[in-house]
Amino acid sequence: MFDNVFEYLFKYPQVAYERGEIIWSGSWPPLLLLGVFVAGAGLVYASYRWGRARTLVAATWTLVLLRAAGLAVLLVCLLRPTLVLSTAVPQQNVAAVIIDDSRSMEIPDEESRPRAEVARELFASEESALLESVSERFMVRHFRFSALAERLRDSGELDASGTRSLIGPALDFVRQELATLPLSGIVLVTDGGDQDPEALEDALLGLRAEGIPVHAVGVGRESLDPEVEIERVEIPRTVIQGSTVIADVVVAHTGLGGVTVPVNLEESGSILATEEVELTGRTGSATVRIPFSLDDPGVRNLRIRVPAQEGEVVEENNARDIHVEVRDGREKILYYEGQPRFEVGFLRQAVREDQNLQVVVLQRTGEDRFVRLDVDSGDELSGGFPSTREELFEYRALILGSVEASSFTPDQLRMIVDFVDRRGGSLLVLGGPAALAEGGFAGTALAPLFPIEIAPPFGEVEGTEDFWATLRLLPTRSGMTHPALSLAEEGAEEEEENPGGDEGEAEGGVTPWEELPPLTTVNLVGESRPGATVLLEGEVQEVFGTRAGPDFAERASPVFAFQRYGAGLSAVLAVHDTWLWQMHADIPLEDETHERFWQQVLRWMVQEVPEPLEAAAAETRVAPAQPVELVARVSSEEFLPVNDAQVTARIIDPFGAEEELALTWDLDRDGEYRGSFLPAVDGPYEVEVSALDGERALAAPPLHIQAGVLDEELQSGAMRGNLLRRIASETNGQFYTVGELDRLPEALRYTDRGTVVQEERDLWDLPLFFFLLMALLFAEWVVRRQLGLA
Amino acid sequence: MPGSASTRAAGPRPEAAAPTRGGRRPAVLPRGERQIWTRWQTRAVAAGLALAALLPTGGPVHAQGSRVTIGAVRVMSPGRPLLPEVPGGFTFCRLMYARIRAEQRGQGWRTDYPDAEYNLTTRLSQLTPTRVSGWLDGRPGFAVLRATDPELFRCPFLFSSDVGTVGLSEDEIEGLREYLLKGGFLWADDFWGRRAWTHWTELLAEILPGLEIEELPPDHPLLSIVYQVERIPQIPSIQYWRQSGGATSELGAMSATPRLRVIRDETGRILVLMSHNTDIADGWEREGEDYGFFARFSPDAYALGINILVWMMTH
Repeated sequence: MFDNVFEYLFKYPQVAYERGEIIWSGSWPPLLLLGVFVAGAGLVYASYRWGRARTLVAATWTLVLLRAAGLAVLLVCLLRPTLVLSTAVPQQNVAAVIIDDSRSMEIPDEESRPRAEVARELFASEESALLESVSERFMVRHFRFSALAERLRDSGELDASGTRSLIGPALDFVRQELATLPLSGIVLVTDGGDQDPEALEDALLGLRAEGIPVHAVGVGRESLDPEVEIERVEIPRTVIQGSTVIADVVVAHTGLGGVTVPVNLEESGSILATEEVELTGRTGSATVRIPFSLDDPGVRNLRIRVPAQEGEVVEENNARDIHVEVRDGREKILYYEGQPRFEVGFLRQAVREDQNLQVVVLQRTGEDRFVRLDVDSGDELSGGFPSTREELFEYRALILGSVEASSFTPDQLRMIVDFVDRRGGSLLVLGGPAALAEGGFAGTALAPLFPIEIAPPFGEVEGTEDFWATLRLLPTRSGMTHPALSLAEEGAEEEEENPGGDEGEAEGGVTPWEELPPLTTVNLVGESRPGATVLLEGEVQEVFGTRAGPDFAERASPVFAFQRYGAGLSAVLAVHDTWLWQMHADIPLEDETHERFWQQVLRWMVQEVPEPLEAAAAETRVAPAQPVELVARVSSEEFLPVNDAQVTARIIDPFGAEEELALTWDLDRDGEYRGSFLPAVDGPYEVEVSALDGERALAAPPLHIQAGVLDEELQSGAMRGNLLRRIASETNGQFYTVGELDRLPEALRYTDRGTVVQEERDLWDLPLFFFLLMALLFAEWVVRRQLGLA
Repeated sequence: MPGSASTRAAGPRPEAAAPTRGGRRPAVLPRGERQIWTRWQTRAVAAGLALAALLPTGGPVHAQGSRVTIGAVRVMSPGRPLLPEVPGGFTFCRLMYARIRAEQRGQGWRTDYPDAEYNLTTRLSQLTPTRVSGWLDGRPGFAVLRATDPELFRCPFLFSSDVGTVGLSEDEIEGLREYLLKGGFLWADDFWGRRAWTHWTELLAEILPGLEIEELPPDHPLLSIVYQVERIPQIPSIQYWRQSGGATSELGAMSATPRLRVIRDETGRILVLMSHNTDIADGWEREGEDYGFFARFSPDAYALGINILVWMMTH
């Protein structure tokens, strides 16, 4: 409507004014015209002011202004405004039409018709009036694109079957394909789904440099309503068998505010876990955490799904597939305890049934005397705490009990730092009379690792006799949903309402946090460090000693906190009698809080500890014709990067055929090797990466890659108008919806690119000027009539 | 091998501290510090409590596998409040029970009390890095608890002496069962001969029905976890030792062989350890009374005692 009115008043469409330049072509000298205007205006004033019928001053000025404005319009016409335009010479230029042929074009949201059908009808059909209009002036070249772009020879080739949309490479392809022809512009017909933003940026740079305008035609609705989709899923790539892990799921929606939807975690159609999430607002997203556990080892193909909602147009984006490798193996943890105490026995008992955890205990029983429990060989730890990095780095996690800093050599302390920082191991420091500040760790190499300040400013820390406190441990906001504190058995009904635990009465259940008995600390700790995450805070029940300061009982102390440190993580659990959660009179005999707590904490600690050879694929699901990028990191026994290893990937395709690929060292990154391959067929690929570092042979767990159609294409199914507007505006083109396409042929015509001519179009006869003049004269007449002058 | 225990320094028997020759009290702590009550004070408190116990307020008591209700139960109070105030370490807890039969030289739950506690906990903290819970005045702490006391569940180690005379109510049996199954450890000591054995094991069958009693093999890692214990020491009461001129078997041929027997749960954890035909705690209690007694028995008593404590704290 607006465009029609504009074109009626201004003779030419808006785009002509945007592309063109206005000049003044009149032969009358401007100064003369100015003089005529001033003289004319003065004459009008005089005639009203001193003429036969004298009028009031205010009325005089109104009439003078109206008449002067009319005079001005006439004078502007005399100046002869002219629109200078650069237009394409008919049939001397090429217009490229590139049509999206990916799966998302099947979405039926163009007045209930599939996007692909509308695009085909408008741009590839022989009966298309639009195409005919464009063809009058241009030679039209058709292309289609999805993951790859190619010439379109027949509209029947458009089948909306592409599994990815890569707009950037498609625009590049067209630009290069028509590089030798006078290309006036590109018409991009798409819904804007793009899976390679970086490539798009590169393509836009090229188009801008060559001045090729892209006219983006957005097919589909910018807002699908109602619509719900799984926007993002975050989940550990590998998990230990039987561990509770958390899937973080972001659910986005439009038009479903106030609706509660279930989010299911499924495997082969059966629901493993489910959580409900309430959607809010007109549009937005919500995060939901789904705890679950997997028992069978191997690669598991899981699906996160929200059931289709009534009236939803795109159901395909309600689900996301994820792959998780379930590891079955014993993860070795070294627990070094400086003094015999109950915590050792109870912790061992808590994880005794966990076949995936091997807690090797080094218990000091006297001066240079140790008890070793659950060791693999007679030599293991025979000299006490490891004295070499190789020995210490055998373990994936280290627990330090009540053992004073002076029992370590300076090198052993540095080794522990390297264990976390370089090896990527996990450190857990337990509270106790000889732990933390009370164990003399303040100021040692280990102190920066602690996620809690251990040299509190509120008093002396020597000795422990004058301070202890009983604390009720309660999870913080972070702790509530942290896998380390996810104690309830997955699948338990109660778990849905209380992730921290179900009713203590149930057999094998866990006790809610607020009902667990208070524990004791003898360690005075300060605030958590800025980068640390506090999982459990202590609500003070009783405190003894003046060391803590008068306000100690008022504040919640961090008790269980962790922080990332280098490649690993470091945690502190500043109590020394978690065994009370097993033994206490208030805890039912069948209760499993203590067992679950330690199993979860230790599993969380060892979950993502790296191996000397780590291999990964950039994507574990690839579309056809999408290469698989492999990266491997090789470390020495001391976890220093190795740059001269021979790294090989054995690729086994879905039919069992094998191929070897040598990964080459990335010069920019120590210890990192890269390579890629292109899956020839759809199906599951297995990649076994191995490395030879001198005599040392290393093998990484196999990678599993699925090649084939991706559901990604249908994620965010709405037409991405903003992206298309940006593409158009950055290339000096225009954005159109399907309803606005009648402007396209004209817009294509006005271009600087290709074979063009300069056109000069008079503007003095614009209908606008005529109507303006009429309106001014009419207004003057009305005023005069009011004054009785007409 | 996973699951096995080994010790690097299964050292010699503890002989570090010399006893106070001929002293009435053990030499572990200075006399003034260690002694809380004199024996006369103990007896006075005991007599007072015994009188109070004669009032018909005692509950039903079970023993010998059959239920014997005794209207009045002789119970002696330890005179100490619950658990030691200063936490952070090992606490020696003793089971207080009603004595429903008599054994020669037995004094019920208070046999060897409290000197055995003082001396063992002190030696434990001297000979190993173990921290011992204590009282605010700095003395090593211990506790005496009934099997129905909720505080019992804050003390995973429980010692019981003269168990051939134990009588437990139904609630106590229930409490003890829950205690042991949750992770508690009970050491039954100082019971001699078949009759005491029968009495105690029948009671045990009520506490832990279905669980077998087994002999602790001589190569069990418990016997070498800290000290190498070659044989189970037979330690008599010092009175018998003196009276008999150095004999060790208090019931002669009927108690000739000292034995360590255990009850384990299905996971192999030791719930109950029994030192039969021996009075290990006397080896701790009488450390300072007689040098000959000390030299002959105390090192073995401490070696075994420390081994058992370290074992139960790590398993």
